[in-house]
Amino acid sequence: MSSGAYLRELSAPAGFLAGAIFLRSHVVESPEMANQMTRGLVGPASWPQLLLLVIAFFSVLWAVERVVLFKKQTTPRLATSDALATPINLQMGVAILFILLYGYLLAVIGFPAATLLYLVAWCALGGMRRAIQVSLISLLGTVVFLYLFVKLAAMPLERGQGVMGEFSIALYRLLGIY
Amino acid sequence: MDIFTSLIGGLFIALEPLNFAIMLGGLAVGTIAGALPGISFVNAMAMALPFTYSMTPIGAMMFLGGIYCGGVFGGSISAILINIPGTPASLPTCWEGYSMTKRGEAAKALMLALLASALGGIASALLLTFAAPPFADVALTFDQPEFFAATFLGLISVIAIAKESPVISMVSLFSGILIGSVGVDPLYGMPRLTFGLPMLQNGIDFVVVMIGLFAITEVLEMLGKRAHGDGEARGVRMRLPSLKQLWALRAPAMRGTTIGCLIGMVPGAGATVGAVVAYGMEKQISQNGDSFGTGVEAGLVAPEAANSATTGAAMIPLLTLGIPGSAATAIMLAALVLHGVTPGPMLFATQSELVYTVFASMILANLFMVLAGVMVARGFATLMRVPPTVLGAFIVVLSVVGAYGVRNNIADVYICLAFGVLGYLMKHFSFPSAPLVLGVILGPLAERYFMTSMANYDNDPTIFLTRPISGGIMAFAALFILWALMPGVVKRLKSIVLRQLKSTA
Repeated sequence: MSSGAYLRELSAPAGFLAGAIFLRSHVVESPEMANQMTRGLVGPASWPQLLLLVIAFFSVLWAVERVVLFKKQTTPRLATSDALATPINLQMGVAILFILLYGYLLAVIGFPAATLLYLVAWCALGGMRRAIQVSLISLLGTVVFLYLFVKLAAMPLERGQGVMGEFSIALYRLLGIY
Repeated sequence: MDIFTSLIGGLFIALEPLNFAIMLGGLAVGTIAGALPGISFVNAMAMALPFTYSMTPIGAMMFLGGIYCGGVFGGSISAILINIPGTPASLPTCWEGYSMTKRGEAAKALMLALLASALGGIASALLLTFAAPPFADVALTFDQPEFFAATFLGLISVIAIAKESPVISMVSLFSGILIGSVGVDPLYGMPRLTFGLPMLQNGIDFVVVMIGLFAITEVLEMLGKRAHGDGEARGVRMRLPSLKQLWALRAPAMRGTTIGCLIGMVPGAGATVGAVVAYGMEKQISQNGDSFGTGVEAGLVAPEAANSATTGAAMIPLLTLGIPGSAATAIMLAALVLHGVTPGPMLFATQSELVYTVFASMILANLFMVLAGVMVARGFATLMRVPPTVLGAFIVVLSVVGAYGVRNNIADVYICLAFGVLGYLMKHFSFPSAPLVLGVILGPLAERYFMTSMANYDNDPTIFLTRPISGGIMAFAALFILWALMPGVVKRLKSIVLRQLKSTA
């Protein structure tokens, strides 16, 4: 068995182990102050540090288990419903980018504009090509969400910054929800 | 007989047109709020509290009770149809219910969940009626170590959920508990694991993690499968379960109800612990235990019965001791106090009419929940006819609004989306996400009870084992671990012995 194969098998548990070791010294900004406050098992950093210790322990066990299973040439079976192989490709990368961009734009251009743009982009990404269909779904969807959450649930959704904030308010007025 | 007569009297008051209408209104509000991700029934109860000022104490309790019962089931509607648990207690419902939806059995899953919820809720309301005072005495003996033991039992049930990979599941579970500990420490007020980021100071809310890991991940997976041409049939076939099928599920429903009633009485444990423990137990007991996670009906029915069974049981410490065991019962306590009613042992003597009307209304609410549930679920089920691309886009918007609505904070949206992407990567690398979510939900509770136990009992960790009730629960937890792991250990030992026998031969 090559050392590369071993490394691949051990990368995940080693990552968790390294993370646990790294985080143990970064639980609080001032470990000295936390130590002064600690009495026995009770202290501000005690619980996370206890958890990190347990994570480190199970990471080592995991690594041992992987090595044993790898030597036996059996694929380790994971949890029930989660054990689904999911693809990562260009379309998926773009989808993830769209979702993250939507989250970012919410605070910048506001919920109405960001949602409208996101719905258009997502429909296009999903293969919908008819402009009327995409426009209707995006427009009506945004309006329904606005009525549901801004009007009925009275949620103070992000309106955006500067001119976009004013645009959102104008739109709310137009729709009779402000 | 006296209790029975009082209950009949309460039933008549509850059936008065105005009171009955108020209860139905509460049921509808609760079911819709529970079904909408991010607007939990607790939020709905809090928002509804001012409306109860103008009501009588009986009307107020019936309204809030209706929201409570409807909301607990409502959370399962979105869990079954779009894999977003409307409430944390609906988490196990996602595992089986959504798998059934993917098979085109959404209507059956909804009906099973609804009937199991109604059964659990009615049994719980009857328990509340007939056994409140003696059970309140037991609840009174509970202290922090017992609360920790109950939470610990909920956490270790993950062993049964993922016993094929217990080590990786433990890494996932403890990572979840660690994520739950991010933010300002509850005892000392010191920020932990925040790395100086203000957005992490308030901690990471479990609802946000849950929405990200389940909903966003699901949308990405839906898109991926569509691209590969293996998308599932998403239509709702309106085939309801037959009486024979229902009868076959009586045992899981009864077990779930019993677990829910017992756990519901423990203040702080609540519906989530009840549902998760019921799911874990059912997976252990069921002959199809290995198939859990693929849409097994028993795995849907047991936690559904359990989470509804906690509703009446959680009101036992509220009404008899004045101790609210959950956020929902705390709001009910507030409503009682606002109307000049003080819960406690004397309540049964001074306000017996109110008490028994509340009991009767809980029974009625669970009966009529079937009606409200069917109506709301039908509305939601139309979602399933929407093309997957559009459905996915709407789920992302709902998730974003749901995450934002938790604390009206945009940082929660970022965290939710980050967990969505993380969840997709976890699926890609076959790392289990369910234990992580359970850890995030129950971790903060476990920490609070563990730390206060240590502070109150001289830093003595043996306190969890030496006190009779907590020791009993811990022993049960240990037995549960053994029970869950034993088949795997025996299988391994057998293979080792066989190998050695072969080599010696």
